[in-house]
Amino acid sequence: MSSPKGMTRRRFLEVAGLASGAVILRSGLLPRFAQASTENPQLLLFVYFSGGWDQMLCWDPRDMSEPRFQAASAYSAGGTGIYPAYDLVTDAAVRALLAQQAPSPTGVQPAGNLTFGPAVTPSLMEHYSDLCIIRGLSMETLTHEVGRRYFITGKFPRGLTANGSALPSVVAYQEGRSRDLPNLAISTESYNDSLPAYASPIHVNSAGDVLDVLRPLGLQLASASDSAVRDFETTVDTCEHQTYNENGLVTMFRDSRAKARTMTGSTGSQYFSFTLNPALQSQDVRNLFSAMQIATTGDLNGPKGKGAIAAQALCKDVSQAVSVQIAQGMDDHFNWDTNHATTLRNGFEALGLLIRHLKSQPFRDTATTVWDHTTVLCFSEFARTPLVNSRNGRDHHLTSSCLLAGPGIRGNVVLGASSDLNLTYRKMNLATGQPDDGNGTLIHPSDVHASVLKSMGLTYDHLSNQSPQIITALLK
Amino acid sequence: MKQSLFVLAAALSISACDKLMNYGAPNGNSPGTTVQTSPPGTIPPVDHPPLDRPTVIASAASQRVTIAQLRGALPVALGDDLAGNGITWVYPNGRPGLDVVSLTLGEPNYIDTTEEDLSPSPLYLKFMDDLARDACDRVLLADYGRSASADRALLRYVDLSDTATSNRSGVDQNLRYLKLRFHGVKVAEADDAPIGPLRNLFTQGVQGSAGAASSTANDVKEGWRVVCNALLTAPEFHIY
Repeated sequence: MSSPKGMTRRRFLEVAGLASGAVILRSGLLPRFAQASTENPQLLLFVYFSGGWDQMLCWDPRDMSEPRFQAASAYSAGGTGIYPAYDLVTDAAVRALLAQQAPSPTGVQPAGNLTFGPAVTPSLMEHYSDLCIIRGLSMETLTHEVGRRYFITGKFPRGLTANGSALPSVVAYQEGRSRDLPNLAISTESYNDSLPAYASPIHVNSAGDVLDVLRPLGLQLASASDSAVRDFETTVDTCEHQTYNENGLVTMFRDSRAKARTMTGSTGSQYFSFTLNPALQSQDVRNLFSAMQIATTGDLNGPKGKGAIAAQALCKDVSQAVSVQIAQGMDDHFNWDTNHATTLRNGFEALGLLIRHLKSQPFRDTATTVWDHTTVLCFSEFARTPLVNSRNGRDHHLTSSCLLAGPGIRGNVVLGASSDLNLTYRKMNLATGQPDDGNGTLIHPSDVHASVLKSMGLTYDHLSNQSPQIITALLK
Repeated sequence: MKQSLFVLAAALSISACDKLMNYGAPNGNSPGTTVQTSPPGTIPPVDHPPLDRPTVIASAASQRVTIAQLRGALPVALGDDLAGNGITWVYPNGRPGLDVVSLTLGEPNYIDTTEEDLSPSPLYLKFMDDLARDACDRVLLADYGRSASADRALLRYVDLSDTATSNRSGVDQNLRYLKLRFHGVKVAEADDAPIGPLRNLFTQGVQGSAGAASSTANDVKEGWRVVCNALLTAPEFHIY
């Protein structure tokens, strides 16, 4: 057998050994993530609209005054298959907008380089210069659980089961264990797959839950007894511990227990004593409720209340990453005309107020604001069909959009597009963000995750088996 | 050097390519092309766990108990209160604690969630601390209301004022019994290792409560309180 000129068998084996060693090192021994610098802390706000949102009401509108988007054309053979139907929507604010645009309402709201559908609120549009919209996103599923978990982890689920860790867990891990509740999940799913326990999501549904997490409940142990139990826990290592720890479960148990003790010893609970009684409100909570326009029990238990929890978690240095299900019940196969826009608006209103509040709050003792450190990713599991069905509903649709903002993300920009025929996805030129049906790339949630992490200066190695593409057009 | 780089590049290209080899017959739609498939063999898909399996499977992997299992286990481990009701964790609002935090801890309600996250998360451990303090207080209240030791859940082999000094064998026997009752671990009579740290903990609890004074029944109660808390918050109680 011949070998390259001058190459001996021994030499070949030496170099090949080096090469294979490098491969083993890269795949097995090096840490999966680099720890980020704490000099410029990065916060994440991960906002979920549950049920599948209607693109045309928010991020990817169509001009309803154009004949091709009116019912007669949209439903005809060879028609566009796109019917915005804004005039069917009963929401008072949408109706007011259309009345304002009379005599030829479009339903489209321009702001800077962006266009929004009629369900987007002024409180959110006021931040247009910070916002980046990605259109024509391919979700590859019409199943709620699959789409939701795909966008939560950036990895396509295995069946219905989530695959990998949630984006907030990855951010919390890479930013290190410096906060009481590094990864707060408000009324939403979140996952930790093989990351340290401190990055695990803390699931809460209300401010009361956060309080219950941050302070011991009920009877307390006497100081001496408490110390004795702590000493016992840290020194005892039984045979059972070693047996059960074969898969690292006992180590995780101990880490979590230590984390739990840190949480309950913190002062963070004072920020979550939410009450509508002004006499019992702290000045801090009073200011927060004013900013989030919380005045009723409905406000407190709804999107604004959830937004307020997220605001405190980020502004008071309690959390690194916050995920929040800010709107739910949008799976409007029926009664889309009466429900969908109102649900969207309530969520957008809370998000807009939350961003405004983050912009007003100083970050620690610096001259920057909390917003200067916050990256936002707003998503749903998929979209809704561009035609209204016979029950005044819209069904599940693959082509979706998402909203981003952050210190590393370009604002006032729309990237990608959906087609004007059946609202299908179009490929994108990753460098320019413009549609490129010939040579472009189809955009998936994994690409968005990788790009967001890159914009935050974090690594995205965990997505390598999804072959993510960086959308360079969204990076500053 | 040039030769080394050549071989290195060749080695890397071989490793990169061996997952995609031409195995297919000509594609019917495109005559002359071949279908790229993964070879049948030992090369797993990307991200697949290792295929090498141990020749002997010792046991299933350990896992944390579910909330439903915990809900069932507590009255069994802690016995009944003086009214005959199974002892469990009661939240400050008077409702069963595990029911209150059920959704927060991710117990499936089959409406919002269908799967339970069984990781021992900080949140789970935090609530287990709360649970232990409350439940141990209840079981002590019940035990100290019962004169017959056979009726007690926690102080089965000791009197209410026994210490490790006054009744060492009774305390040891009781600790063996508690290891079995709470953790399912049978400790042999001659084996002091598993109960030694618990005995020290009990003594610390008693002494911490008594201070410089002689210990009373209340101090002994504090000793059993810390033992109960340690047993309920130990990995052995939550992992199997």
